[in-house]
Amino acid sequence: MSVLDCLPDMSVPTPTPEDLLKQNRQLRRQVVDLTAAVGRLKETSDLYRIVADTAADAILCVDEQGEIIYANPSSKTLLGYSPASLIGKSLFDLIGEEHRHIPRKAVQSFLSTGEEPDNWSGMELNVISSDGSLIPVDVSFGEVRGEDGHYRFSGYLRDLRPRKKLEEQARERLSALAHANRLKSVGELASGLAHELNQPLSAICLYADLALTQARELTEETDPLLDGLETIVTQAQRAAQIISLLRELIRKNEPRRQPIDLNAAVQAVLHLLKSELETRRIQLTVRLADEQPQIDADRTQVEQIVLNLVQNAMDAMEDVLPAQRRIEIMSQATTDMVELHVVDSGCGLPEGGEQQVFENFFTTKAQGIGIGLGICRSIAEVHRGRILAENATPQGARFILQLPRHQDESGESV
Amino acid sequence: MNQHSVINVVDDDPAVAQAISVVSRSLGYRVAVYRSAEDFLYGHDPSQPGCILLDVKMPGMSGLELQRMLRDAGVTLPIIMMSGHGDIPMAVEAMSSGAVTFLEKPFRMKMLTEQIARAIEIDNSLRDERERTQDARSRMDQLTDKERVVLEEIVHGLTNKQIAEKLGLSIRAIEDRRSRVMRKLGTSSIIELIELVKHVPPNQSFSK
Repeated sequence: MSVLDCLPDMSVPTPTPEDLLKQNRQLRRQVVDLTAAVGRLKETSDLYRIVADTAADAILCVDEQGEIIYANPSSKTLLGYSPASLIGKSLFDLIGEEHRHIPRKAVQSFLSTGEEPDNWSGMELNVISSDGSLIPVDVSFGEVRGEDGHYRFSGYLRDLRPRKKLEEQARERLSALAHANRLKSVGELASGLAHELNQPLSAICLYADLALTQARELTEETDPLLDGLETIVTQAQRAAQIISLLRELIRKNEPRRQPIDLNAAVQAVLHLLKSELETRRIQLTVRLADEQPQIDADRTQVEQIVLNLVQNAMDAMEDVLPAQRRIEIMSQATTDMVELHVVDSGCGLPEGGEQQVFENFFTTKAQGIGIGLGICRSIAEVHRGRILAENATPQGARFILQLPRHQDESGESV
Repeated sequence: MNQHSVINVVDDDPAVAQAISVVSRSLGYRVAVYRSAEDFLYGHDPSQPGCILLDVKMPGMSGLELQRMLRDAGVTLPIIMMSGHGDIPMAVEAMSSGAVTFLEKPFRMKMLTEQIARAIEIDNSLRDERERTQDARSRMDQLTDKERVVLEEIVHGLTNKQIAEKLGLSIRAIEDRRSRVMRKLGTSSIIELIELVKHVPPNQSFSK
């Protein structure tokens, strides 16, 4: 028995010339198709390359160990390293130490479960740039499985500094307004206190003076009673002076008036309150008049009024279903005034509250001290304007702010 | 001091109103207290001489609003404005609308009595003036048209002769009318006559 006999029968039927021709044709066609496919693939790959090369965000691709296999040109802008020098480095080494575990865990979690973790497209991390400084970025991951069965990951790194800067500015503005509000609150308190305390002090002064006059007729000039009465009067006046000093001190925060655009102030405040409105799921409609005339006003104080009115409207809707929470803001001009309407769909004014709501210490909120609308009124009055409240239909309240139009030198409204 | 003068106190704070009225009474004035501007409008008697002590800040109508309303209605009672805190623009507004003074609370009794005395004095002279005007008018009303024509010429400084020539009458007739004018008006000299005519606006006495 020869060795050949032990092998399985590998023989195939001998192809006929026709078969060979047919197979040859098929192979040729496949080669043509493959060439075309390779061409298309190159085209697509070039296209993606251009996209990656021109993206403003930094794009890094890494393997399963986090080793960088691709970096686009914008990586240099963000990180300070050239794309070539990034290849082979670990992505995780570029992440600030306090955040390093976050992307590492995310990648591990993906590899073990095959599912994208929740923070896959949106992690706020700090990356370390070539000069050692930390840069806040937003990172989104993507993944693709290679022919070898291993994953490659792409990471989009968006520089958060511009957004952070805007957020910071908005926060500062809001805190400046809150500070102005607090100052104004103290001013209102002092003013209210001055009025309330000066009344009994007036009575004390007059009675003591009267007693002094009558005692002088009845007793000797040396009687200590006279001194005592005199002291009552001078001390009552001293108390009044302390109050008036306090008011004087707070009044230093006088408005700086200049021609301003009410619509711009409204938009500035709405910008600050945007996220708050979204969180509270309030639908906002803004209809500001075009070509609005200017007003003579202190910008910060007008923003304070708008802020307080909108906050008041938001608070009024705590007990309203989210679907029915609406705030409408509208501006218009009359012959001598510029008007701003803030309408909410909240609980409306308490009975007979059209005036009361503007009084200090009047509030319907459990946490309120009742000063916000009082501030609005006193600012409006200082600007020779006024503020009104009425119930809106079918529900809620409407606040109307009226401020005089800017007058030019000749006293004409412009 | 006019014992008939009424001090009208308009203040929403009862303790202040009470203190002011006690002081005013001790000076011999009569006092009427009102808790609001509205109460004053409905309750006060405009024929009574006196003055108003008016608080600027009250619930409802403010002191400044009441002041404007009274001025527009021709009420001349002098007003002493009072305020819990000296607000300068407010004081300026009150004074330019004719307030006698602006008292910042708390004030001394001496200040109050001085200002009340001044206000009463102003009220008295306004009333005297008005009385003289009314008196002059009623005397003037007794003149006949012919006598009035002569009065007008006398006041313009014409002599009897000039008047006689102007009106085409005898000097004698003019002299008669002149003495009747002097008698009816109760005047004894040209100076008194001119003084009297000053109190009566010509368009009200000289009917043409």
